Amino acid sequence: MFEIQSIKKTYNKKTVLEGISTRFSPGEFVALMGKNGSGKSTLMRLLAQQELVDGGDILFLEQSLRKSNTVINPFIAFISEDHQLPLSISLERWADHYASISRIYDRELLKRLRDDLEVDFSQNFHSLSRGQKAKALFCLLAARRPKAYILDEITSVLDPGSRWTLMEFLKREVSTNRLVIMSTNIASEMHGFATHTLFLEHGRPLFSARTDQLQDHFQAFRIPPALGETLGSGKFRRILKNSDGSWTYLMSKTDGEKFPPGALEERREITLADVQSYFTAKEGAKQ
Amino acid sequence: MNPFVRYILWRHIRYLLIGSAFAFSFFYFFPIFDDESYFFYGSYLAFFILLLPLFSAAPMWITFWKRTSSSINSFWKDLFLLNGILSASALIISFILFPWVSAGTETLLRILQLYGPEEICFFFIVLTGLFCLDGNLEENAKKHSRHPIKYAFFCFLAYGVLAGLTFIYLGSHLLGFLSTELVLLFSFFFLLPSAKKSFYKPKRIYLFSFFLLVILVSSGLIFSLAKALNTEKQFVGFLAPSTLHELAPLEQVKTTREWMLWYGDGQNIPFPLLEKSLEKLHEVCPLNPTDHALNILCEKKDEKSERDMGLTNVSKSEEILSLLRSENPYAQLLGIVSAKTAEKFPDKISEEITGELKRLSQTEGSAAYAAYVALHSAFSKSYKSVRIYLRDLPQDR
Repeated sequence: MFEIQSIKKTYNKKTVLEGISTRFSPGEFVALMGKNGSGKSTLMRLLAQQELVDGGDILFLEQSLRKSNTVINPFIAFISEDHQLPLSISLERWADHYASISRIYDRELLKRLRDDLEVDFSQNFHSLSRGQKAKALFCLLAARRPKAYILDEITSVLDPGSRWTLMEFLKREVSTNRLVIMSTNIASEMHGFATHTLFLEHGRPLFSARTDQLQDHFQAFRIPPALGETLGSGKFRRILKNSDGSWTYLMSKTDGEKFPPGALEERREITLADVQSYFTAKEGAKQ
Repeated sequence: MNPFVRYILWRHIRYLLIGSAFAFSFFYFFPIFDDESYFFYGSYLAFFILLLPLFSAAPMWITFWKRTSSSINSFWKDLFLLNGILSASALIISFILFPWVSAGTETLLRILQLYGPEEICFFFIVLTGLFCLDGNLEENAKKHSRHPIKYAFFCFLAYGVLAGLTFIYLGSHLLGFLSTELVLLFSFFFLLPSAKKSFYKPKRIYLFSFFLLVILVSSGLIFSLAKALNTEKQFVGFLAPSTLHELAPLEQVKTTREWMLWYGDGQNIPFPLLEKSLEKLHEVCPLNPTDHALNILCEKKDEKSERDMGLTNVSKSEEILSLLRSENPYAQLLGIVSAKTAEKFPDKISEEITGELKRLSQTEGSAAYAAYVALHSAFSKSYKSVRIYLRDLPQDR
């Protein structure tokens, strides 16, 4: 659905995104991850056409967003933390307005979502809390039946119950060949939902893979308590301290490294949380 | 029309109605605002209070449309409609509020008579540009807030440029329009975040060049047309100084109302013509010694006042002396008020003016004497003009 071709984005001569080339297809749930300031939100704004790329191109349904006048708003639902609705009116009336500007507006779905997410549509949008606003916006936009959801860290303001409801809904949407791109810093919430992941660092792609193939990229091993925190290579990164005092480390298989002496292979599922810990851990845990 | 634009329009009409009712009652119940200086500040304040909700909502609308518009064209159309509504509202509110400042209870109709369609059109364009800049600056507030000095400088520059454009317009309509269009064109395509985020640079340059050509060609055509038709003094005129309204010959003035329209239309009446106009005023509304010196009533004096206007003071010492020495009581009255409210004169001229005032104060029975006495009794209020009240005049409405 989206094809990103070597895009570049600069603000005041400072490059915030560079060299990203990837493809997001229908039926994928992409977890966009990275440290703060890594360029996640900028990439999302570029995908949602809220900004223009300075180099490269983005194709949407094979059509260049750079060369054509295509506006993809009718096909996407883009929600970010700073999203606001400009009028102080009830959500019911906002739903009417959205229905009036949308080709499709699924009232049934809207009703179901607002019941599931417990959003009171008689309320005025501006009187809602941040979490309720995020849920309300999601309901309003999902009813437009978008082909792609671009969600910029909206789950961080949701309560756990609403978060799971939302994630389950998105999973069903993915199963109907819709695309979900969600940026988050909470890797654990993506477990079981995300099908793909893209890690960014300093505006550049750091790691990209299918989430069911993380095993192919990483290997976990354990350092017994007796050896302590002795590992000094940046290739091995500490991700977890176990209850028995041992440390779990992760290493990239692509580096061709072998286990350090005394390390024990750990047969466990590599999760997104592990990979996130790997990439956000400080390099070279020398002691 | 986009349902949101329609909705904003409706909401805004409500704002205008409620705001106007509020403003009227505010001035009605607080007599302190009878005083001219407070009147000015009160109106100015009310103007911004009424526009504040729109100012604050504009950036959110820009973001909203950016996320919901089905095409770039519809985004720009909606953006301009929103700013157009803002501008029209600002103009309407100005018309409702500012006449109270300048001429007491003047009506909207009176202002429409005073300002021609070209002035309204010009201010509409200027305000639209102003609101576009302002809304977009707000939209980009996060970026600018990191550099408050830069933000303040940009605002200062933007408002300074707009003030400069108005100044050019007062010199020449065509030059005013031309420079305004060029400045706005440049601002739209090279400064506005909305444009930068909607169009790639080559396209912005292409659009800028296209519209630049359109503006220059149309201005050239208007220039040629005006020259060919010899209509320099009209709207399409090129370098002719702008006059808000053509002054009808003074000889044609027959009633006080006509005189008030005539006097109000001339923004800078040359001094000899001012003296003549005061003679004409005495002819259509004779000043009697029994009249209140500072609030002169004309025509049907027993009915409630509907309109009034001030005779603005003059400040040049030789003109004040000329007024004081005149035999026309209106001229004398204006001279007295001007002498009392003008800046300090050089000693020699000040003595001369004091001498003239003394001479007038000894002329018992004259209207100017009455004015002089009344002026002294009310001097602490420092009146700045003689106010003429026009009463019910059904014959010339």
